[in-house]
Amino acid sequence: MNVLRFELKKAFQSPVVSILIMLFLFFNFWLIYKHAGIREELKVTNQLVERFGYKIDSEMSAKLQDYYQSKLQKMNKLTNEKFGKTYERAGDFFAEYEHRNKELSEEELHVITETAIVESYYELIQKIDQTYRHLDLSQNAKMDIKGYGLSGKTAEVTREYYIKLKNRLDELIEAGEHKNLFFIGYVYHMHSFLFKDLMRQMIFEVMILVVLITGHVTTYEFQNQTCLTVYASKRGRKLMLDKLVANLFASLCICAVILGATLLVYFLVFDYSGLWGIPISSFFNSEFSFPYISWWKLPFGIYLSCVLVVFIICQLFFTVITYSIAVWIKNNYLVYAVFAILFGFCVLIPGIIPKNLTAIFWTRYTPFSLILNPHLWFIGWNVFTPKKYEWTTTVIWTCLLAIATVVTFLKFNKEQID
Amino acid sequence: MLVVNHVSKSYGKFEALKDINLEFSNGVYGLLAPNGAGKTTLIKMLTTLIFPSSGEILYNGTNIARLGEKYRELLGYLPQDFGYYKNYSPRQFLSYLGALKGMDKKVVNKRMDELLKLVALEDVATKKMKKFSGGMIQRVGIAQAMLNDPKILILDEPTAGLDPKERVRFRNLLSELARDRIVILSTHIVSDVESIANEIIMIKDKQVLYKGSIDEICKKIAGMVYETSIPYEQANMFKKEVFSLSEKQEDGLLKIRFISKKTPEPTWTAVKPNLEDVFLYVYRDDIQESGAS
Amino acid sequence: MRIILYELKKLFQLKMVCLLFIISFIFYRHFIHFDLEHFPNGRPALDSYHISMEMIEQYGYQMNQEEFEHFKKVYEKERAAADAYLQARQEYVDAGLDTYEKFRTADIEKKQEIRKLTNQIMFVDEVDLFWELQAREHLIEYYEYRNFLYSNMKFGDLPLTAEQKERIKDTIASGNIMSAEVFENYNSLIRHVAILIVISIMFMISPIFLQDRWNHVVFLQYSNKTGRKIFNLKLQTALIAAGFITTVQLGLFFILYRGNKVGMFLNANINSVFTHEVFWFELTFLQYILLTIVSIYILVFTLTIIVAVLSNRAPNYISVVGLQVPLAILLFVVVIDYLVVRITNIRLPIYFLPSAYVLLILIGSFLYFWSVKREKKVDLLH
Repeated sequence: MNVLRFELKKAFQSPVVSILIMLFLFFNFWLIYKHAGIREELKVTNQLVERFGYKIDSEMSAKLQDYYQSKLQKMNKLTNEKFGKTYERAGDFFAEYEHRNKELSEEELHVITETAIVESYYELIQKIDQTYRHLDLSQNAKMDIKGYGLSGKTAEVTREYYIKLKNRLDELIEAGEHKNLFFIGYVYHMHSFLFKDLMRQMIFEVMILVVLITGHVTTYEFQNQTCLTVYASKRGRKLMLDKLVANLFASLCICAVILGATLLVYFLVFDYSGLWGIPISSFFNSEFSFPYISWWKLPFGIYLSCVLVVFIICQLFFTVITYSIAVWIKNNYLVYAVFAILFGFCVLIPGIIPKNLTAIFWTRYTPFSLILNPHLWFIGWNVFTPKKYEWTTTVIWTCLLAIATVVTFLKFNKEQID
Repeated sequence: MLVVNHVSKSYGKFEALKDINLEFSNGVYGLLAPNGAGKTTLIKMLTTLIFPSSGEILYNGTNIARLGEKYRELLGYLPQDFGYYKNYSPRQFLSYLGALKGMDKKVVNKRMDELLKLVALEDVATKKMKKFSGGMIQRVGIAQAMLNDPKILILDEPTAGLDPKERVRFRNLLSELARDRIVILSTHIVSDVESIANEIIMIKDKQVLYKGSIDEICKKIAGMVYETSIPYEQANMFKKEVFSLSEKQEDGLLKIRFISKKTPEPTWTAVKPNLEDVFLYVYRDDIQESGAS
Repeated sequence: MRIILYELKKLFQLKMVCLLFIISFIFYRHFIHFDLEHFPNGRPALDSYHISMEMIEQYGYQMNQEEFEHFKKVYEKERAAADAYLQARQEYVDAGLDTYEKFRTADIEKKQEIRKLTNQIMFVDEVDLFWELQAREHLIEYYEYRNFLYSNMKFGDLPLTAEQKERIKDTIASGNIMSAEVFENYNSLIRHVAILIVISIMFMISPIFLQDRWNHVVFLQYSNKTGRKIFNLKLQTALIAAGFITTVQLGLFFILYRGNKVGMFLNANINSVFTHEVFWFELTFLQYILLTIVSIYILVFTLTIIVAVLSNRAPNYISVVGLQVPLAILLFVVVIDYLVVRITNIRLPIYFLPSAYVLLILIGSFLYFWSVKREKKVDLLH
């Protein structure tokens, strides 16, 4: 345990680690700050959920309509007093927004904005069934095949994929999973913001730190010429094992700091209370004409947890990958370069494989490809996001890296240290 | 002639050397002190790696900092921590240093051949130094120090890692070299300098304690060094009375060499002091301290 | 010079060169390959590119009102051909798409069968005529709505200054012909090439001093005749190495870029209503390219000094790499976009670029002289 503490100290003693953590947190906070302008508008969603619950059914719909009408009336009363004009839709007001907003107090403007948001919910709810009826997944299959230039076996896989996704979609519609309130994806893009912009940024930040630290700690004795004394001590070469444990632990710490601080601020800025149980496949979460369809029913809270689990597992993978490279190379500068090259290669390979080989699918089962699209984890989006993609990658790479680590150990145990 | 003139060196509040005054002309100088006494600091100042906080170092009357490369051109230096490129062969490394020493390429090649032969490395001259033993690396270090045929040769712990045979060869080489140049040899191994040094410099408490020939220095404790044989049982008692220099077993008795300022007893035999005696006596506190800790 | 050669040899170790080669290859495949292979990217970009060439062939590098009328006439002629094409096909006539006008304005969202018919022409048969028409329409629009440049060239909410207006006016009056596709494509490429060069320099130069310190060779270096001059020499080595790497990277890139066949546009003025860009100076495309190259060199030399000084000061590799992370982010996200890509654009003040480069050169030289001076006096302890 004592040894472990010393190894951990090596990980964090370098001031550059703290400097980078600060800097990265600053980037994350900055990103949140830039997006924070909509936080007031998002609160309307919470109010609606509080009032009507998030499940959309005819009863709720009717209540919402009443609520909307009363809001609209209030608004029209206000605009009538101010401008002698009433509106059929709150949205119409904003068509003239630029000319009128200066004549309104913040509070008055707020009333109108709120009405407009409630109106959007009300109108979008009417569109749900139609939207889902019009989803034609065989068209998606065709688009994927054409867009990616697939043919033969891979085109076949694509068609099968969309049949599977269609089944899931039917099941989802049947269960009414899509009929739930959420922040309006078309307008606020909260899913992309949280899981793509912010999460991907964090993935790369933590990865940079993890690789830097792991390379540093693992090669420490060889760089400081203490290898002769250290590996001849009682603990001897088992120290490499301690280093692995220390590295993994350090990675967890980095994850905890970056994720913890960033998400804390995120959820303080954006109010998700009452929304944790809403399925990610909700119609309102969708941001494009094609909705997010999760492969399982995943409420937002569970989805976020799953994403975090995959996040952390990926970082542990990067730790072990760096570690294995470092034991072989022993010069951390080159370790960093080799890791970057490995990353580049793994992402490159699926792109250069002929489009008719199924290899274009299974070569994507790497943590490097996985981390590129965190917002599509557990979601059926296109042929490259199959069901169980995340878990399969995780299992395969756990095995691969376990083997790599064992081989690395065996090699290191027999190695001549000079 | 190299003159160290009232030189002090301090790092912040910590004073490493205080008011050092020394003069070097051709010959071998043994810089003798236990580890941490400031030997390396002095040497680093002589090699311009660090600069005196006060005082000056003059070569033929000019400050070496002002002489700059004209001074360093005459310098050969083997650092205690001799650095090298693992992927280089001795030949590659020496030609690199030859360039740094501002030597002509042809001259470097010629000198290199001679020196590699001299330090018995000609067989591995083109092998990468990665696989070299400590002694081989040290010999590369000696070769590079002599590459530019320096007028001032400064060697910091040069015999570390050399086997006894190499040591003897090296010592002979030095005394030969010292005929027309300054050789400064820093060591804490007394026997390295005993036979060849014209002059010994001892540093204690950040200052020069003694400077003189071996005989002169040994005179400092002349008439105080004795040898006697005593039974083991009395050893502990006896050692409390005197300062023991060395002990060895002989015919079931303990033969002990020691220093005493008291009037000698009849069983004591007066002996001629040697440099090691002086060293042990002068640094007795340091030695006991380090022994105790 | 001999020492610099030795130092260069140390920088360009075989394994480092190999790694650099692999890194460059991967980077090319990821970020540069596409713009080289797929230029012009899809349609109607391809058609715009062809038509731009045709325009230069017919009208020279400028187009006046008369020539524009001619250009419109060609468009009308092609339009008539499109009408004929549609009328010759019964299914289109039946669907009410018997003229190009109707074809173009058909509501494809509402009617499945109409969407199918338009898709047939545009995406399945890829009838050149129809794509070309679209491209011509765009070009005509750009020309006719050229006053749109006034709002397009605003930087944020700032109102246009008199100088900016002057430049826009000149550009509109000039009738310069330049292909937006070519210009965009080059900007995207040079941006990525600049990033690749920055990565290469960082990778190759970072170990320059750290390596010697870790090998404890500095004691030997500084006590030799060359002494602390070696520091200066090594900085020069770094600059030479950086210049060499940059030249090779740029050289390779421009050899590949020749495949994009932009020769005809090299003498075209980039201030054009068709590129939607206005610059402070009357630059031809070739001059613009040269300007980006010069700016890359200045950027690279400053960067090299920063990296080298970092390498001299950082205690270990984790620091030297870690401290370059923010530097890299700054370069990739901000600096390259402002100081290499679209330079001299009027969105930024006319004095922005010169002052930015003067500042860069000042930073570089200050760091250079400061570190050399500092190194002359530093105590070498470990």
